[in-house]
Amino acid sequence: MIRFALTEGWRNFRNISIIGLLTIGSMTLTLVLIGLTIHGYVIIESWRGGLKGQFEIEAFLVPGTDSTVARNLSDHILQMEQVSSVEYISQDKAANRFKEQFGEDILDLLGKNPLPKSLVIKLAEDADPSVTWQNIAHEISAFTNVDEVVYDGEILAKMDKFYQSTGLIVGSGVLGMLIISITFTIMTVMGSIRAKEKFIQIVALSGGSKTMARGPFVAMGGYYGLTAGFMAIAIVYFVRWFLIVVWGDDVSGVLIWIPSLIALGISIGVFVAGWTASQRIKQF
Amino acid sequence: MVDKHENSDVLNMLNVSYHYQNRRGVGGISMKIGKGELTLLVGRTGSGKTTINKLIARELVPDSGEIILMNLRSSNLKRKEFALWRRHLGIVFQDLRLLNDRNVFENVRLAAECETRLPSSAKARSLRVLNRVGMAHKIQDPPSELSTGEQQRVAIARALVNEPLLLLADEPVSNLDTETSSEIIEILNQVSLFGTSVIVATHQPERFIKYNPRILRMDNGTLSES
Repeated sequence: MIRFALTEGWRNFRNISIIGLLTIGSMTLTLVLIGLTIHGYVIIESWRGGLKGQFEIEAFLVPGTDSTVARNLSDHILQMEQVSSVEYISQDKAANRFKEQFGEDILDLLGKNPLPKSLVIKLAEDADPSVTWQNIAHEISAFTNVDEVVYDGEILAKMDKFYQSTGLIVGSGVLGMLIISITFTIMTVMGSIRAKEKFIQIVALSGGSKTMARGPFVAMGGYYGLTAGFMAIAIVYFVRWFLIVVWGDDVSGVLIWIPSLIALGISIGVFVAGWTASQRIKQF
Repeated sequence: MVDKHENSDVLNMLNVSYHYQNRRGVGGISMKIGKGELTLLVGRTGSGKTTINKLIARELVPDSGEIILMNLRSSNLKRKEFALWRRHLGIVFQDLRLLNDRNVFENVRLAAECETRLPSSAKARSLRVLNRVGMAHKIQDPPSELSTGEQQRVAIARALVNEPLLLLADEPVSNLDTETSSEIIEILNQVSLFGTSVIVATHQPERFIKYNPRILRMDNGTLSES
């Protein structure tokens, strides 16, 4: 049965039509988009993780908060999943930081030290990407004894927003291409079924089963997916090679997922063709 | 060869009627076909010959009545038994319906593969039956390069490859010259002599007279025996 489906499916696949070429093209594009999205995700996550480790959130404490309370609060914040370290900045330490930053002693300038105590918080590099700096800052500002939370909000918020919008656009693009390629696959299989009406009739009237008549079209869908999968892999590898040439560094991490584009292509082709064949071949 | 007096019925139609959407197809058809019988269904175009063939092949389902093919009854046939029903039949279509995307051998093997899951068996049976109809020397040719008579032989071979109990042939000699049609009729007669019942729908019964066939006349959807 499988040999029959594969042989007859290959016969259908060989007589490729323009719509068949469009099917392969759209499937390839879908798989390339999926491949590059995964690739891009790996790269961006690696950059984002690095950036997260570099940026700090500073939580200024309410005046009069004593050091014991501040340290308790520090421990509490440290328990947050996205936080990698919390440093308690006493008033003296704050004065030292001021001197390092501006070259002036605050006591000399003002005669007293008005700088508040604070906690400097660093985020973990592997923090959940769906949690933004804004979320974390907002959460910390809700603690008792926290007066104000300061961070390089604008850049970080823009980065988060960019990340989210890009995800949305790419996700929509992948979904759109998937719908287009599924539509083309359905049209190709329907066209092939129409062209093979005599074949289906002969199978039916010679005592063949429903599976036997549908099998070749399912296999044909698989061949489309296989071809698209190979083409997508070639394109994704080319893009990766190009990025390495441009940046001179391989940031793509593990590449074992790339061949799985073939499996994904075959799965899409087989599933869509199988569904179409089951809807169109009913004379058994 | 089959003993013509051995009268086990292969097909039994009991008061079968079928109506198309806006006209009657056949009404109250009853007939029995014995093993190895060569039967002609004779009548003008539109008299119901093809409808009977389609009812037997279960391309159409009777509105009333019963068709019994060996031990299978049409009235309580389950959907999954359709294939089993059709494996008892061989069909030669009026338009032959040979597939031009494959050669003669592959056309016949396609039907063989519907019946068996052993590729080697399908291959052997296809070669044997092509040899039987005199087409063994043209197995690699595409049907489009054959003469009408040769195409008819291939269509018969395809219908016979699963060794059916009953062969249905729709106007098998209508487009053939006298000599070629005699050859085709001889093949059909040989098929019946070897035990397969043959029903031929034709409007040219005189071409078969030599073989003394049973003749059933169709007229406006009703059947009479002459």
